[in-house]
Amino acid sequence: MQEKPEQDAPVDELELVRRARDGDLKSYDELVKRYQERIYSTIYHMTMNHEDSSDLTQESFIKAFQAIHNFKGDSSFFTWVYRISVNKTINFLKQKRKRNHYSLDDIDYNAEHDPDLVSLISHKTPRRDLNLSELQEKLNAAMQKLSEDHRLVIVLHDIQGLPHEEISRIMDWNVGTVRSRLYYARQQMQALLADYIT
Amino acid sequence: MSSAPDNFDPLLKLLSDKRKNTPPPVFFNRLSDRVIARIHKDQQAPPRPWYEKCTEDLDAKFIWAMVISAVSCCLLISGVWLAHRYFEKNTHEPAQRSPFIGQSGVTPEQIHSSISESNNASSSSLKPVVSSDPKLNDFHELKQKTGLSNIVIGPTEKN
Repeated sequence: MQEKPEQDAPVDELELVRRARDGDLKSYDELVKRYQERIYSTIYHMTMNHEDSSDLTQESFIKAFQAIHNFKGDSSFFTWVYRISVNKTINFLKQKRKRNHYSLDDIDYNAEHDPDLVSLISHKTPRRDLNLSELQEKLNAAMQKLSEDHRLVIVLHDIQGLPHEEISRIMDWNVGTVRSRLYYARQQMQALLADYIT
Repeated sequence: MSSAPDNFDPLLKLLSDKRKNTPPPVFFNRLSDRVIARIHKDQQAPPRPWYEKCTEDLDAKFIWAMVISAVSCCLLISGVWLAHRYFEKNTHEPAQRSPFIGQSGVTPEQIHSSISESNNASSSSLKPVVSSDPKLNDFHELKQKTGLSNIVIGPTEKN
């Protein structure tokens, strides 16, 4: 305990957790820095809003710090924080849906997804004319049409690159459930983007 | 299910491109600073009352809120029922003992029989309950029958 940790040497995750549990904010800062980018990215791909993602990421790490005494070490700290942030994001999306609040962005979104408008755009706009950013927009819109579970499994596996086993630990699902949900989510995405990708 | 994964290749390519869609590193420096600043601020703030934490937890866990309210209702109903039974029992049963009876060793039956006998004698207003004549005094008879001769009625004369 007397010797100070070296600045350059990577400190073990469990050691950082132990120190953070003792109230060492510097160690917790190190943990936040390690995982904030991936957690932010996951939340962003779920919400499609930078401000909400920033708030939810902060709240997830604050909640994790408050509950760090309950962290038993059964899973990695990364999995545990991921679970907190995913649950927070799902709750946020459910509340947002309940509020049924229509912002200007939502109105644009609804207009964009009007079937007549979409068919008109598809007819007038040949597939080859879509550039990458437009295609990304279509992709985002298609993702927003998926259920939260299907969207989440796409984000965690196909965007974040997490293995099935890790997702099953985070979401507390069977590996088989992860695989089947991923398959159906991809099928839906494929159907939604049928006009743009071959 | 396993026959289709090749069809997903263009989709997977698009999705993997989204991984690069992240804010600049400066944003993340500020994000971690804000997290630590908020934790620091929370630590310095006065502790919240326990009921606020409870309500916040229950808001998040709807099932727990339902369970706790059901248990509270059961406890309330059983409390009211027990109280009702207790009062009902006490109003129907007479007092079994009194300190006076306990000291003298006289049973309630002896008291009741002696009172009923003396009631017959004292039913007339001509024979008052308290009289200076010991033979006309109801308490004299009662004392003799029950053996409570040490009871003194009225002022004692020491001189």
